[in-house]
Amino acid sequence: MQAILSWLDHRTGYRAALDALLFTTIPGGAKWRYVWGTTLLFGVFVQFVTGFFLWTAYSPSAQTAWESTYFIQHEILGGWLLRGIHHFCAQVMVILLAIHLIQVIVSGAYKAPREVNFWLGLALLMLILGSAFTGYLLPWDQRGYMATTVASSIAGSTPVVGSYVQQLLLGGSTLGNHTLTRFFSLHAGLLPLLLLVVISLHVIVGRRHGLQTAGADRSKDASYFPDQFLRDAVACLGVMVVTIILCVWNGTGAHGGAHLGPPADLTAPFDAARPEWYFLFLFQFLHFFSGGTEVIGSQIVPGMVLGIVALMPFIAQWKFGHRFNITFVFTVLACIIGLMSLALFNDFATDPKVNPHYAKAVAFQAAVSDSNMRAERAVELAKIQGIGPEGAAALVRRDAKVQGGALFSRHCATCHAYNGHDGTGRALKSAAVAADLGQFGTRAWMVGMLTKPADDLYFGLTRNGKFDGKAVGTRFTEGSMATWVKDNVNSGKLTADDVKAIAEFLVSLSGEHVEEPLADKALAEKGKALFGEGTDAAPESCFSCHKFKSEDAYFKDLGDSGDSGPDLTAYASSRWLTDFIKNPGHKQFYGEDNAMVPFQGKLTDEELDQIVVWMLKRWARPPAK
Amino acid sequence: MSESTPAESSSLAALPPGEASHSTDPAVCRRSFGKSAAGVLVALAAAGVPFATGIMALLNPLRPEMRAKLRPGGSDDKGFFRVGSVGNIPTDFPQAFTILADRKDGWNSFPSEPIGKVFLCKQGDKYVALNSRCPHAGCDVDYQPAKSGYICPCHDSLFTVEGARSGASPSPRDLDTLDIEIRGEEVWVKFQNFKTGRPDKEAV
Repeated sequence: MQAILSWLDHRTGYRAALDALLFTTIPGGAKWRYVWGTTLLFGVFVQFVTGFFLWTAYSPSAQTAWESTYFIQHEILGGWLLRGIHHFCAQVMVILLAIHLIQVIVSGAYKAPREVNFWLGLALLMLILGSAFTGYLLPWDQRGYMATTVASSIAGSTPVVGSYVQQLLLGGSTLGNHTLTRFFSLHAGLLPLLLLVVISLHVIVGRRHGLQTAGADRSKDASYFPDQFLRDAVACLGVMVVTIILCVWNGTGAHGGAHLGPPADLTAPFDAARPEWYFLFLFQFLHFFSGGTEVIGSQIVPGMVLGIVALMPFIAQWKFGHRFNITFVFTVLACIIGLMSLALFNDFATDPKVNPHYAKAVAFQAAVSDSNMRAERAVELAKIQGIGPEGAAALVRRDAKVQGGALFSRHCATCHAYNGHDGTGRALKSAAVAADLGQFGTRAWMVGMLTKPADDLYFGLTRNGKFDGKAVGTRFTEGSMATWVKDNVNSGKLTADDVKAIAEFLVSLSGEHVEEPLADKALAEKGKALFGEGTDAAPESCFSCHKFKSEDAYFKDLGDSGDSGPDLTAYASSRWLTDFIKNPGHKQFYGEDNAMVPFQGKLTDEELDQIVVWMLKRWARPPAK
Repeated sequence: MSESTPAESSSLAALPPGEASHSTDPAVCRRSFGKSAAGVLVALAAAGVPFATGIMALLNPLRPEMRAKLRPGGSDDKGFFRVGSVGNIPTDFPQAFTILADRKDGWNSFPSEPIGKVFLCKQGDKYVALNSRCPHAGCDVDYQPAKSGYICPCHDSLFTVEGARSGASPSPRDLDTLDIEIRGEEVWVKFQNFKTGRPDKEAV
């Protein structure tokens, strides 16, 4: 063994190299505060390793980027951890970069003769931020897509060259396949190569100057190995542990790990766009610049700050230069933290007592939870239905659970609320003037209609509505249904049990609402009798207004019903809802009393179907286990 | 901090090898060995995590669950695919039929796509189904009426119409026969691929 190593040493000189690496002298001995540079080096190492393995499973194209990321995250064993380490180690590195930079400036390690190494360090900072920026797009989810759209538009607003820079960056005028291939080649090709080169120079030049002590530290010198090596190793392990804690703590869906938003879709509305947290300060900063001047905030000011930092070694030659530099770097840091806090406050402070603009925060939170719903649904659909060649965005676009709410928001929420919101969790844009349909088709809905139809959740708000330019007024709140309820239910002629039975019967008419248990048959039979004949105390039955189209012998035997109220044949079924939404003014529904816009011709059959499926919650679900 | 503190950036930027002493005191040596060992172990642990996670992901294709998940769909419970009707099967002269299945490729599913080819023919009252992949290296064999047999375009393996090797074929085994069932008028074949380059027939 010894002979082989000697042979190798003779040919390569590895012993001297290893000695130079491990047994260099640390003036004043090992210190915990020397670990930061090594932790960054370790971070780059982790990104190279995890990045390579992610590369083995990632495919950069508009139809496969989200899809392959989904596969890494949800199908590959341990893939979520691999992606999580890559993602969160990048976040940790941003913090380490800040610590390292501040330490270098505060301790004066940027001053002559270390100017060049300081600039190499700044180059590394830019390369790492560039890697973070290009990496954010690669999963091709809505967040990355929008963040890149915004960032490239900002680059595009640069005078003269902007539009060319933008097109070269994106590989065209819009984001697409070529944006992904370009960003990926930068992220996994050029930037890592440059990182390697510049890191090597940074270390080599650094060793030329060494860790300089200015005489204050009189501790004994020691070699790098083992004392400092142990400290560095422990610090690196610390970085790894923090990264893994972040991975596990940030659980989304079935696994922890990095967030994967809904697949990018140009046609889908997305109002939860934000850059990564370490670019939030820039995002917030741009709010202060009005149209046409944002180039000052996006490029000129950051460029000047960076320019001053780069000139720090020269500024330090001035008498108070070093103090100026320290003041400057902490001022910039305070500004960054301040702007970041402001951005977070604006997005998360939903309490009106604290935040005068809380409505925007509420809207942002609703947008985020809608986006999370879409993201989880995309994963669920990929698992239930499989992703076709057209990609996962198409799955989401066809899905009733996602589109039903969005269509409700667009077409129905001008009058109706859905559990108080607009169908997507966002606030209504104008006050509701019709029933809240969030419970439609459930037992609660039936009981409510039978006990308090003039309540705001049912007909109450129609009082404020207009139809065909005329006020709807008390047509419903004091109409025959409300009167019947007052006379027969509120007066106590029908008991609560009777009402429950009738509600059960109404639920049994379709039984299509997925989240309602199937009807109790005996109770529904009782309800049917009550519906048809009433009781001795309340002989004016439901059937005297509501009729059935079916050839149900029971109701036929009761003779012809009146027909002033909606036909309840298969009430609250997909078919009933579809017919109703198409033409609520048809004589089988509200007839002349109608106060709702007919949607025949306004919605395509597919859209109508998506709304109906969504209202009855009949969207595709994973097979029961 | 004032300017009298040590200038520092990174410990890796320490001075070149100098006077740091390799102590000969046994107690110092023991302590130093403990630190060395601890340092190496901690460093390996930190560096090992990304490697271990990555290698776990890299080995994913070997997981039985993953193989089951990526198996083509569209067959019946026993793995049979419908390939045609009895009337379409020629006698003595084999004809190629495409197997259509729900192909799965990583994250994508492709409903009803070709996943392979079988040669079918009726010999006497018996039906013969052969996988068109050559057992030697996986090239696609073709039936040559002039030779009354199958020829592989890659290494000239020659097989008889029943799929048996004929002459000095490089193929280590005969063409792979597939189970075939006649269900009423329909022909069903248990389509499988087999590992190439070995004398025994083992399903992929």
